[in-house]
Amino acid sequence: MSRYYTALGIQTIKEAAAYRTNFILSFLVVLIPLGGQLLLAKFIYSGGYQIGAWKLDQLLLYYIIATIVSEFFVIGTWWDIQNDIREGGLNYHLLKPYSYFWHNFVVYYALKAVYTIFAIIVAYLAFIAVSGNLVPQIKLQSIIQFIIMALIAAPLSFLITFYLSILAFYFTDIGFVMNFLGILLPFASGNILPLDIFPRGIRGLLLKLPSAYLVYHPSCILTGNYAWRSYWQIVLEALMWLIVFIMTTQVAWSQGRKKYEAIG
Amino acid sequence: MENSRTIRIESLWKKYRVKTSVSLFRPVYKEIEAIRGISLCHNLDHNLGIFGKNGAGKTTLVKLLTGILHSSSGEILVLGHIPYKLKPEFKKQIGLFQGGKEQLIWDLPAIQSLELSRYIYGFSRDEFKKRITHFSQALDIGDELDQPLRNMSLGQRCKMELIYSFIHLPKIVFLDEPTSGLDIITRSKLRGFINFCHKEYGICFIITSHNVKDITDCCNSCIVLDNGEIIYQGDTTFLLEKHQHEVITLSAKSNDVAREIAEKFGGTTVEDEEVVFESTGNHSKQLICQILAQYEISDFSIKKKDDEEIITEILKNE
Repeated sequence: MSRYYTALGIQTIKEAAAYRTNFILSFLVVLIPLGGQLLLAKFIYSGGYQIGAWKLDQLLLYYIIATIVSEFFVIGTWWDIQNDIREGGLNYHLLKPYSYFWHNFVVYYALKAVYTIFAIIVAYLAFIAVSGNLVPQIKLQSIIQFIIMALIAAPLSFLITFYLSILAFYFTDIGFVMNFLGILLPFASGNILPLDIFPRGIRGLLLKLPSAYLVYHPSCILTGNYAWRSYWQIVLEALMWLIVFIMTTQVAWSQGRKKYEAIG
Repeated sequence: MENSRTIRIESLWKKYRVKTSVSLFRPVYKEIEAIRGISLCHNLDHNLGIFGKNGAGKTTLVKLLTGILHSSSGEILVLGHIPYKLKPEFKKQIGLFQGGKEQLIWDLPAIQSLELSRYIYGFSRDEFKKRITHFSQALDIGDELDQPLRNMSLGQRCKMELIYSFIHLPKIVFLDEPTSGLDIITRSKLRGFINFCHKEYGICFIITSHNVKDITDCCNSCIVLDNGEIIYQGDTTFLLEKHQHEVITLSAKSNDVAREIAEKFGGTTVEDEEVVFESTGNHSKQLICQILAQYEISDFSIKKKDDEEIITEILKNE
């Protein structure tokens, strides 16, 4: 079946290429918020202020990395799965001898890979513009640590997305969940501000939420700015969330299948 | 294995719970019995048609047979498998086509989407090409294969989806309203294609359709579902012959003569010097000869009911 998933990934990328306007817009979607964050940070620091314990260079690098990381790992709105359940498109998938979970996993990351490449290009140009350097100062050890973390964050991100989408088995409309997450996630994942600058109570909560392990912690690991916490503690907590979501998703799927009415 | 070429259903029930009153705190639910204790045994050497009105339970039955839905009670065995378990070896042996539901990628040339099937079911590129050529010829498909689905007409898309449903040559293909929304020519082409695949590849088709010809042209066996129950199960030709009526219209000299003929020979209506008889079986000729021997008749006609009229009548009367 691995040949099928490879072929599916390639087809998904080809399909994405059919919407060329989206690619152009994706440049702007990344550039506008990142540009705003970088300019705002520079403006604040030029007045002699500081955001948390972050030095300006560290913060700018954090924003640039967080932009790329969030493009790949942040929980996406995955309407395809909901529509499959609500409108009966799931019927066809159930009868094919592949896993519906892995089928969507491949499509999800094939699409994300395409848009992440654009995010990398924009973020790299932004990095050159703000730092004047061509190569960011990232240690080899941080890159290895980041890759390990990414191997956990990638399935975690999709598991959360899949879990939220299959809530459509239980609720008539889960658009409200997706809309709510669309507002909450940029904050809760550390995409807008590093989570450690929030007041103690909120920070404690946000740092333990699964969303923190998708953007904030991986970005901190890559910038090398996580000395206040053990790397392996972060990895272990992320693993714990991964196990929780594997179990929860399995239960939600098998129960949901029994409720499924295959409308249409 | 005895079960390997059969569908067996024993006392099958499927109940749905539907919300009948929308309320924030206490919604009211009602139980609907879509399938009511049916039993069936079908040998997969023959295609099977499922007749029924809207809401009779046709599509629910197909979903239960494919394993998409879980039954409320009863047993189902298809090809020796319990469908709901959806084991990969079972899934490889079945195909599903639902009219109006698309599964191919909208923006890519159809051939690229179709090619995914060879990775799913694991057959070679040469075999894929051979099957595509074979199917394309049978369905009269040309350059359309290289077009994205979104640029195709409904009929063309339907043909592509059909190919995708059974390019892996399964043992059973479930066709749920395969010709819905198609023109007469495309419908006839699809029916020819179904018969071609049945003969050529030994695929058994289970067809539900409101187009009666889809079933009468393709299925030797049929069941008639009414309100979740099977009211007929058997040979399609027998069902049609059993309910076949011939309508004989005779023109007599006057209304009085027409009335006399009707009274003597059991006519159903008399109007404007015309007597109408409804005859089952092959009694029409005999009846006309008897009347002609005794009365002067200026004209007569015999009209047989077509399959659609017969099925409509069966469904109406239940």
